[in-house]
Amino acid sequence: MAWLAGGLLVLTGCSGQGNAENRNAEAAALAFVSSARTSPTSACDLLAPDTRKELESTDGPCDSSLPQQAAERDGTVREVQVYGKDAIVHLSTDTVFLARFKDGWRVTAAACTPQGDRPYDCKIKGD
Amino acid sequence: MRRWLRENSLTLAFTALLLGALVGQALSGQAFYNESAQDAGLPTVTLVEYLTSSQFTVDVAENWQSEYLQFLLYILLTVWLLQKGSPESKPLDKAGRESDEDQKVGPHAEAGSPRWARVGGWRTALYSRSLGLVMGTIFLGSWSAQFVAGRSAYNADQLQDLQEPLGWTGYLAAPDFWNRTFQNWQSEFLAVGSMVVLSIYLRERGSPESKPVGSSHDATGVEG
Repeated sequence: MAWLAGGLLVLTGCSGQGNAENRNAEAAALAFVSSARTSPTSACDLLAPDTRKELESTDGPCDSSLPQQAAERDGTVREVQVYGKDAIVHLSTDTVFLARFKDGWRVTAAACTPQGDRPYDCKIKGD
Repeated sequence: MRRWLRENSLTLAFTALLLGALVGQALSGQAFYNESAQDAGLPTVTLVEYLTSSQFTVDVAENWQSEYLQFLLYILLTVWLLQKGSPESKPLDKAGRESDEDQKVGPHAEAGSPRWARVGGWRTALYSRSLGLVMGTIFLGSWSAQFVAGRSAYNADQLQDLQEPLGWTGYLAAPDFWNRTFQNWQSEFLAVGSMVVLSIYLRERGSPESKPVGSSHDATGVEG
């Protein structure tokens, strides 16, 4: 049984927290933030499906509504945390939440303001 | 081969049950995770991704740590604590670590005794406590795995709820960690307590976990 417990600890270490995914999530967040106002078509493709659907149902086509909701363009990354298929990227101008789909990291929520212990208040988010 | 199977049938049966239950947990756990993910418009996981996920690891580890704690406490407490009438207890006059003669160590070792029971010194002292030490080590290892994987799984949920993830000290104080811990501990202690008490009055013919069917309720530390 001792080897089973050891195997459990190995699995724990494999639990989707690799540095590679930190870099991928960071890259997706930066690409989204830098293009949201200037190249909204590219940024819209980086939105998670449900988030894009929610944005378009309330504010109209993504290409035109995204620039109005997005945060300022120039943000430097302060911290990236990845837990399995979920990530949070803190930038100097925004906080972005992402999830890793089959075709890569996608933004699930952005233009987020902290609310203390309560959930972030995000202008761009899913249902 | 047939003789080997017969003489090891208890271990083989429980190993098969363990593997079957782990497969069941993996499949049902993946289905449950994906059901929630689809409802929230979030990515689903393959079986391999689920098996290496913190969600699966914490669900396994939280159960394992409590099992090994149960056995650790059971092994240690039955050295000194007694229960009149229970086959799970030692006889009422045998509390404590017992004599070297009773325990067959040192000069009292027999022909088939393990070497470290015979040699004396630190080796015999260590071997005399090896069962508790190994159970305790596995308990601490799996509780640590629960802590590490539990924080990762909890933080994934936090992010899905657009909330800040917790650091290590934050998760150590988090209700999620202690709720998982205590809900597993209570069932383990209940199981041992039930076994200690029920076996005073009830019988299972042929099982070494039961007294002989005709034993009196007062008979302590006898097995069937």
